Amino acid sequence: MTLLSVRDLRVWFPIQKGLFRRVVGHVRAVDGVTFEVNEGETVALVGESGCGKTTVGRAILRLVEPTSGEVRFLGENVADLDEKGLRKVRKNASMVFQDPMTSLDPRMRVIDIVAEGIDEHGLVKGQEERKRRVTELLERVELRGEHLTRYPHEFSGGQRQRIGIARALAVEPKLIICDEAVSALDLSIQAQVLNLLDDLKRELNLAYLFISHDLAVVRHIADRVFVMYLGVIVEEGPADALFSAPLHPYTQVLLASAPSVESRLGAAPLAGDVPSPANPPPGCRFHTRCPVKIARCSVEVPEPRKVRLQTVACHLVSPDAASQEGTSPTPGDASQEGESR
Amino acid sequence: MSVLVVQDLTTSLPTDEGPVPIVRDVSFELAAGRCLAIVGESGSGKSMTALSILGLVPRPLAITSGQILLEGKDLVPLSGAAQRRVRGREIAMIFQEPMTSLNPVIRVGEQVIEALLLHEKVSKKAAYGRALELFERVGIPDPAARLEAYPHQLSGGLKQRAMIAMALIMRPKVLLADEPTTALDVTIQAQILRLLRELMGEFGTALLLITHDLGVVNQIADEVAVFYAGRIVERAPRDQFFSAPAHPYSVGLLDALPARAQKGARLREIPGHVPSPTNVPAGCAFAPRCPKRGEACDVVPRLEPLCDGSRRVACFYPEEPV
Repeated sequence: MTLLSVRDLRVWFPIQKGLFRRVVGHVRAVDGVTFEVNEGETVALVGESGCGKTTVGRAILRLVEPTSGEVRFLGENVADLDEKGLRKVRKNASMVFQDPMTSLDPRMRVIDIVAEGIDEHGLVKGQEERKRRVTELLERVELRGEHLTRYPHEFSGGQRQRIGIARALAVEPKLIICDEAVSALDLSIQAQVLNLLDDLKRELNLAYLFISHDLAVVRHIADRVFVMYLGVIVEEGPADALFSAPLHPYTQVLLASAPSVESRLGAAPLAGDVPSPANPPPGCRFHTRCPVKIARCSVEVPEPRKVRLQTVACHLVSPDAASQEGTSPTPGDASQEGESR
Repeated sequence: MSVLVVQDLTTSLPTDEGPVPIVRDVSFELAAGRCLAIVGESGSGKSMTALSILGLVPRPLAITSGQILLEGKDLVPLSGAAQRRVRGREIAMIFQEPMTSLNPVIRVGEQVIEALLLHEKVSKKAAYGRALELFERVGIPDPAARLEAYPHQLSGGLKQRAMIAMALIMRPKVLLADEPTTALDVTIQAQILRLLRELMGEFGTALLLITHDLGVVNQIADEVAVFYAGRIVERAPRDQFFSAPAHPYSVGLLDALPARAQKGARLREIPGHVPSPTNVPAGCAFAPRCPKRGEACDVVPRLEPLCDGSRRVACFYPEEPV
């Protein structure tokens, strides 16, 4: 069953100038994004900073207002909802943030942090039941019940992220949006939290929208992956297919650039910087950095097309080109020249 | 021949209950043109080791014992002024956040040549000439204009390149880099790692890289030192470290990597968490989390060569090399 369906979502932030805050342009943070998340599924949004992945997550819960497009959650258009309707959305979809140091109110006790959603939605009656429920939640994320009355600063980074997860679970959501939820954690703790997320998903039939720049983590946890570049999705597909045979030149470069413990970097890393989303290049947004661009790329926006198991927006990848590998660029295999130092 | 030798370095925080060591008996050496990566989780003492070498230990912390030998000369007893002469000229540092380590109200060029004007008798014009050369070398497009720019006008990747140019302008013998690519996107990260590798070869600079990212270590390091609770628990050539780690903590770190796990399978966890410096277990600090702990672990293990001589490990029950 489709839980979340996002259609042609745009989020533009106005650029204002001068005394009268005249709007002189827009930062097109998200510029036409379409995807779905099904019940019990882990969908990942990956991309570099400024690609719009975080804004997508925030727009779903209307923490930022979408400029246009449609976000349907459990069948309802989130954009049309009033406060009451939004509360229902936020009861069924919650969020875990990147930085457990700053996303928990330092002046609140753990019980009140975790119970925030419970209180908001009136999910329990009386103090006793509230306490029992929070204790349950803490134990579920492998913290101890006696932590109830402590404050966030008394916990390590990993424990704080567990508190953040307990808070997200408190409303019994169907979807949890994890925005770089394990990025700030140390390696040994990251594994613990990823395993916990995996257990919770199985037990509670949760869906995750997993927003991350960490490709190794995404490869491990995601069922489907959407690759974003400058506000648009350039490639989408099942995680296994996308990681083992990426089609879009950007996906290929992204995978090849990630410093891996398994291989050394190839000869030619991608040159240049990501252009500004206030003034995205015409045509294919990636053409200014693309190693294989042709004339058409700077003029015509590539339409997403189904190729093999993926959907890819690139003029150079055609649907009948299952044999594309021979001609498509594979920067990752460029050479092992990197060894020669 | 080692340019930098650190010998039994201990840096401590004085408290009412006595000094609390943050860095404990750390020893390593670094040869010209080589890269030693210091890896460890937060609180392992890796950044404090770097600050100790730079003579930038924040008060009230202080180096309580040990030597830091730069080409045979001990830096620890030097006065503030003498340390400043070394810093910038012979040892330079690049930090994690290029955004916060450049002064936002001073033009980039001014900041890049500052060390040169401070340490050498050169005209401003000659200094700018050298900065321009270096900007070209580190791959900054339109270098003349970039020297005139303010930091906010540069992207993250360009700022980090400018930082590298600034660090290298004195041709330092040792470059300390604390998470130099962590704040950058992967495509930019790859560019910077490549650049650092090239510059090490060209200038003969030794690189002490501090990072938690084992992927980065694999790209650039010659040798790896694994820190845990202020101590080095393993020191190994890169390939040996990745293919056959010997300390149970190193094994645990590599096993915890999602990249090394079967898709969808559970990740191997290291149970528990890193102890705080005030609460380091007696004996081997890793023992409470260690799957191989035994009776001997009540004593602090020394960092000793493994039987095949390939590396040094501080463990009574190391993985034997195959």
